[in-house]
Amino acid sequence: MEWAYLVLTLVSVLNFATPLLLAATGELVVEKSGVLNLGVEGMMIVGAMTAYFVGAHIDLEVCTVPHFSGVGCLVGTSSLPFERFAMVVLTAGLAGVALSLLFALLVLGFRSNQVATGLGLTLLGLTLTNALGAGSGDLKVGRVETVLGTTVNEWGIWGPLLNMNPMVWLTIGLCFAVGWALTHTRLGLIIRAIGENHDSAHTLGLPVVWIRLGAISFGGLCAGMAGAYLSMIQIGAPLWKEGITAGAGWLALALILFATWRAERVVFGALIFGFTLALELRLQTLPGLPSWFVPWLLPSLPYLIPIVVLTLISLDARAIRRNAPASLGKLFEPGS
Amino acid sequence: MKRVLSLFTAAALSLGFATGASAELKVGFIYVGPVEDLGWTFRHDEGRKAIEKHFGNKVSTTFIENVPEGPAAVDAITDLAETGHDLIFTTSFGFMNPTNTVAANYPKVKFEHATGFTRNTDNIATFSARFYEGRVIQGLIASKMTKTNKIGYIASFPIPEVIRGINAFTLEARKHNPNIEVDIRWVFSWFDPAKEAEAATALIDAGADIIVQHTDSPAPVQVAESRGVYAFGQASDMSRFGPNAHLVSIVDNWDSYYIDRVQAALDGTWSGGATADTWWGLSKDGKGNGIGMVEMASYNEKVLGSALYAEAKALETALFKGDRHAFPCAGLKKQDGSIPEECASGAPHLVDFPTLVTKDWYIEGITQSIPK
Repeated sequence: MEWAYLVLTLVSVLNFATPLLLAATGELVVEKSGVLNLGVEGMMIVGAMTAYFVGAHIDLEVCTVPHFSGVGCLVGTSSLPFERFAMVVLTAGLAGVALSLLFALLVLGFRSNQVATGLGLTLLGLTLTNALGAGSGDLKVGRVETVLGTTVNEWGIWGPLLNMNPMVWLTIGLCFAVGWALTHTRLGLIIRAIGENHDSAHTLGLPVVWIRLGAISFGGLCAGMAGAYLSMIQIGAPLWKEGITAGAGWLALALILFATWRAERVVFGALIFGFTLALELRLQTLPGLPSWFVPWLLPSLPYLIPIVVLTLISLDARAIRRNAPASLGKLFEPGS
Repeated sequence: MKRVLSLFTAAALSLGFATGASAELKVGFIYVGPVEDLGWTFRHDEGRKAIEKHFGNKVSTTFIENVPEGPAAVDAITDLAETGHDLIFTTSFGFMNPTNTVAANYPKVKFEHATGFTRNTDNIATFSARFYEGRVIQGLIASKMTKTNKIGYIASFPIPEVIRGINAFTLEARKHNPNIEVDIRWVFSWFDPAKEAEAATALIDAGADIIVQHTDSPAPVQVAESRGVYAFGQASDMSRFGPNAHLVSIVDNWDSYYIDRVQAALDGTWSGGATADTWWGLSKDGKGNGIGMVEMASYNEKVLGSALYAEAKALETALFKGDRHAFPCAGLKKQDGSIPEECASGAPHLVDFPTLVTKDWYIEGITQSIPK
């Protein structure tokens, strides 16, 4: 095993972990405020589609090679500069926010059941993108500029790692920052207080609904941006197809349980999930594998490991209670 | 959504509401992927459009896309049979058993199944392309273009069609360069861009400098382009996804077979059953007559250089005319070192029926084993 190969494997791990981590970071804040939003998958896929469409639109003017049909550019032939890419990611985030506000309106405004509403949000996102995004996989979106560009080879084995999209490092930083803010700032304290006991927080005069609205929007922003990573960065070229999230939103939700609501463990868990996803195609060629290993076990690893770990975690109920927001998913009815 | 719409269309047609009501023949298609997969399904849909163009108002067509392989496909095929379609093309290997099931229930409907080998009733025919002829050309090119002697091969499912391709490619590549090692990774999907991209990445990370794919999305070519290695396009012309990486694409061309079969159905000469299996390669009859189902598209002359380009074209011509076969018996051995039965009994090369249709063994020189 060479060092260069390990670095390249790490690149794959981070590549898989980043969208999960970003979506999970947002959802962590939502859940810490006492709201369970199961709509992560839906917000993610809407973000993914938005990023692709916006990317195609704003990229047209820098297009250099005409598409064979005469409209727009060849896929991935022109580069999408960072500032434009940032705009694309932000727009995707705002699409996520829009969807999350719908969720907020229903659960905070009309006090609907959070589980049902969240599931509804996922279905809405999936069907919406199926309807709007069908047949758009061949739009002409420029490849996102890389950090090192053509100088990547000058960095030796570290080149591919340093060349990763900055979203990777920003996401890890954001998750730690969120963890720190939740435990060390006044706002973090307020969010956690509301998540622990919304009635007491309300009695103390804390704006329960407004804080939760903010948390839900933050969750939507992160999920939308995570979607942008999926459609713009993950495979190295822009790509859209229906159902592109393929359960990433659910993995993000599992990640929070896995981490028992602790930010640093969310980062750790995302790396483990990313590792299992990256292993599937890398372990196939190990000599002497039994015949069922490649077709059956490897593809299920990313789902099997969380199940096993979650089972182990739930054996110790106290560990969960220690960090789980006590009001998670409960209905807040002030004055009742 | 589209599926629902196309079902409505099918229903409307059967009730005679739409203009297609005057059509003499209704042809239905079952697709495994989305029409815009830019690969396999895209080319079948081009074939459907070729039917519409060729027959005009005489024939109407419908399709259902994204149909999962396996038992679930029975519903979709039944939908088409139930809505008055006379001829139904099911265009993926995994539709083999479902197609036979539905064919038994609708004896008056004609069925055509792509790449399969089971024909239980007289109203079902199968067809396939000798894609492996294209793999031979890829093998030659890869053997001359690789510097690391490691070729990455992205495989979909361990079925005969895919294994034939791997064998044909490896046989030719190692003939020119015995040091070549073919590294095969299975993604267990026909169309999963993210997984195909990860497979390409894993292969390049492991040292491959040429990527071969037997999956349908352009993602591997895109990855090859961004990693600075070479790749071959699959099913449709993928040169535009990697102007520097792309070497040549194997393109499926179902147009003339589809038109032939629709014509036969109109004339009343269509037949199915035990012997109704049609295979076309680069040429229709394998001897250089007629356009077949396999095309080589967009040779990247600039990257190949004129000498290799000429060599590849010459090989293509030899395969087209039948002067060359993909699996000549001389020196051919199975992975375990044994000699294939028909070669042992003196045949000049492996034959399509029955060997290549069902074969599930690797040739000598591949070190990995086939997942079961």
